Amino acid sequence: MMYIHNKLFIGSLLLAVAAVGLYAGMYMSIQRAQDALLVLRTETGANELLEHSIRSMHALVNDTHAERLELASYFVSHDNPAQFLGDIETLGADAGVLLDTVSLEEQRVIPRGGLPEARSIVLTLEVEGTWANMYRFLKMVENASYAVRVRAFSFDRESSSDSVWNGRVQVGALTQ
Amino acid sequence: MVNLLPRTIKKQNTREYYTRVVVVLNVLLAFTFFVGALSLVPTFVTILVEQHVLESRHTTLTEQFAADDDDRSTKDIIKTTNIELKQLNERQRLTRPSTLVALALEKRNSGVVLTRIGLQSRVLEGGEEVLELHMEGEAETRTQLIEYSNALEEVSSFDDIVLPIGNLAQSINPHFSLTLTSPAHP
Repeated sequence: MMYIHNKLFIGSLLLAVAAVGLYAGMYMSIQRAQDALLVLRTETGANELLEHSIRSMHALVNDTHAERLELASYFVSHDNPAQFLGDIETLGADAGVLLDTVSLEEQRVIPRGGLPEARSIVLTLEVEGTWANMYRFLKMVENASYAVRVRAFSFDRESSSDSVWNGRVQVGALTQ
Repeated sequence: MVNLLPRTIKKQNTREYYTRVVVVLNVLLAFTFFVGALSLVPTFVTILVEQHVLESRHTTLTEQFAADDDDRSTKDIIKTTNIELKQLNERQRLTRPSTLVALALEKRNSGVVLTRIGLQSRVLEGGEEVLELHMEGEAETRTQLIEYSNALEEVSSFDDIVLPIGNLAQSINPHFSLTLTSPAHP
């Protein structure tokens, strides 16, 4: 009888220990899984935010396509500067001056303000006209729809005439 | 009631009694923890399922980022656009030669006649770029030339005005050569 009691006691004790062990094992597994899930949730959440911002960026880039094309048109194509030269000639005609192209060359632009090195084409023109027209041409070139600047100019009044001026204008335009 | 059982039997009975109680308690404890463990199973399965779903989503996103050429080209577009905008802004901020000419001519009195006007840019030792407006001409009198030079000094856009002293030698119809300096990036 005593032997049976002992066996029952040990059996029930082992059963209780096994049940507690099962519960503890299950509890710790859940805790570990929850920790892993938290890390995964954080990473996936960050990636989803990133994906959302990338989608927004793509949408923005697509929405601003026309504006970017317009922006690019302000830069002279160094493969084909004919459009730019034609526009300058048109400005000369509109300003009422006679134009003659002396030279066209490509130059390096000294980078400023953290900008990368850029290149520009430098157009040297011979100009002739009245003072008012010469000044108008200068202003029109400055306001041309290009990333342009008047790098230098020199106007002389003709000794034989009071009203006619001639000289040279050097125009630099950023290229793409 | 008097218990007539011998002392050893009594002890044995008591021991058996407590053993049975402990056995019952053990069985109850085991049952409780077993039921508790079973009740955790759905939570555990739910967590595993969610973990699997998140893992596949995470893998998809990571692979997508790694292989997204479109994203790289978008970054290039934004970078290029940013540079172009800065370059345009830089150009817009440059001093305009026509503005300098207008300022110089605005102060000119009627007795001063220009025969040559020119502009060139120069980079100083410190890397700063300046514009030099060079004017040549003739004034009716020396006084008018000095007045013109003084009037130009009042223009804040010009940092430096150089009128060589030799230009003031003649009192009537002096020829002059004026150089006005202005920063290219105000």
